[in-house]
Amino acid sequence: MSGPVLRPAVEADRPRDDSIVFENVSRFYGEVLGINRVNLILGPGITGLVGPNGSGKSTLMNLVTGLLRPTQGRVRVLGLSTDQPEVLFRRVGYCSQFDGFPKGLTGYQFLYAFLRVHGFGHGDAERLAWRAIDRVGLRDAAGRKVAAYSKGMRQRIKLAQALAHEPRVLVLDEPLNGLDPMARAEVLALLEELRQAGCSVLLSSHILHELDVLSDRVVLLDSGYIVAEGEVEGVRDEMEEHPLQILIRCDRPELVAAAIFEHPESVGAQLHRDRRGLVVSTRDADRFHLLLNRIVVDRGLDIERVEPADADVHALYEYLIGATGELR
Amino acid sequence: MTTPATYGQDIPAPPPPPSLWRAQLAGVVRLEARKTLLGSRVLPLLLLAGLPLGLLLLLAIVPLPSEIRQGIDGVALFAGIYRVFFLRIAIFVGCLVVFIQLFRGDLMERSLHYYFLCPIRRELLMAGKFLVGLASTGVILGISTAGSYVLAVLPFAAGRPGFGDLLGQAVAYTATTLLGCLGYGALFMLAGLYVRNPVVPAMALFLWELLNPFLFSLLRKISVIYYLQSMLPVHLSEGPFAILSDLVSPWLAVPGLLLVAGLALALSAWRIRNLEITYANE
Repeated sequence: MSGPVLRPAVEADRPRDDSIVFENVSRFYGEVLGINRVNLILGPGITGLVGPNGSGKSTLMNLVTGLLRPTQGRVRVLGLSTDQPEVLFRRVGYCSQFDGFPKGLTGYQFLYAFLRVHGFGHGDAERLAWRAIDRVGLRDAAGRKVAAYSKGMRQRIKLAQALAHEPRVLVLDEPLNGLDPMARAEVLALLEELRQAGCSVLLSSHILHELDVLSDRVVLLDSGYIVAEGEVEGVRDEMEEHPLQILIRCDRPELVAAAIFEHPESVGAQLHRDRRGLVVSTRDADRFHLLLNRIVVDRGLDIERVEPADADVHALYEYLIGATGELR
Repeated sequence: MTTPATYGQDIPAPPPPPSLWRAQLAGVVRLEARKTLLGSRVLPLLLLAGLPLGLLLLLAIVPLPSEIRQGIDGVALFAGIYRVFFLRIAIFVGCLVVFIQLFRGDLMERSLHYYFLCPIRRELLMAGKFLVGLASTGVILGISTAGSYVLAVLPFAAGRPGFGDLLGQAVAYTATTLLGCLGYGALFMLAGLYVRNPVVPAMALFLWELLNPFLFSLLRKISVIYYLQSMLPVHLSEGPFAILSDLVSPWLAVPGLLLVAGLALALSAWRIRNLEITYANE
């Protein structure tokens, strides 16, 4: 991992009261680096945190929720200091990686008890607890002790606890861990609905293609540093040292390959084994698309689809963190 | 899984303080009482409280020759039991097992962050936990103290004072137990916030309290047992080398003990306010 931090200039770069803002934040554990000199502004929508083990994802999330304090710099959430839990946690919910629970409580009692600690009365706490339980699909297991839950059920009850008071900011550390495919799809749908409800969701996951589908923007971390952040395609466009790869599915890929090599913006092409497509590498996607249009019209090609082949989180991870990073 | 369009729209606004604080304190107390009284940490406390009651009940009902029974001074018997068992063991160990677990237990089971993720002042969280510890130890050991006093004094006639004095002594012993729970409770909660292994501070404090009668006057005052002994209605010798002459009156002992407890609680509040959650090496 080397090179400058890639940050596409976006309008959201100005801090707002609906933002999570890191101002030159560093966090050390003794002499061990957690994260270093992080400057970040995250607005509403879903932000995916990507990085290998020990890259600083959980540190970043614990800083947002005030469970850790910065060694240097300042973190603000919705304009609030993370030193004010009594205000902050009316608007923030956190599903952490910690897998402990108070002993002896059922799923319902767990949610109800902490809603009472929030200060809700009996009726409201009961209503909100059941609503959160329904959201994560745990009604049938709500009367069972949490200690007897499977890994996936524990994950869901933690998610319910983060959601129960319906916060505007949700911080979710590996919320898809341990979930079966059905539950994972349900959680993804829930996150999509939260995005539509205007929530800010900060999400880490090792399942990159799901992050890719879900995230409005990504933050790539490695060894405590932000390697890149922004919308996936924007970050990808900034990576000039890696030509953009475009997948073309068509009837005569050899013809396309021959035609594009006459133009300097195309730097490579690889035919598919099934001879029904090819992947083209180009340093100028806009000019390449114009060229492709011309080839299609001139040669009468039958195009099935054209799409970026490496403008996703997985590709960013490979290019920016690569072999040095071990996926979680 | 469903997220209605009303997400976040019908969440009731919290009442203003102090109503909010009362509600949150009640929430903490409810949860902690459940964890303390329905969990395993109450068992040593019940054992310690039940031991003197059982032994004294046995002594009361076992058939003894009347001359022996008439010769036993119940007041002195209880004074000895209280000084050796209650002051040195029951209150100390009972508070140790309950109070040190208030935060340390949550750190060990990695569940303290759920409290920290609630919109509650951490000092209020500390107050709620402390109140539950105090109520648990105070009620259980208080009942044990009063019950043991009755069982020690009533069956034996020798040296028995009038009813008014008996009642006064029972109240004084019970109050001493409650204040002991307050003092040791505050110290052990503080230790649970700072030290990973409770055995070390517990042993250190136990030795310090054991040696208290033999310390210089100023050092004696930096303890809990010094003030507790000053409140006892019946004083017994601590041994030939003990310095007993500087015990203070209960009117000074109570504020002195409250000062020690208050100092420990203030340090705990500062610690909890600045505590970070990593669970590393817990």
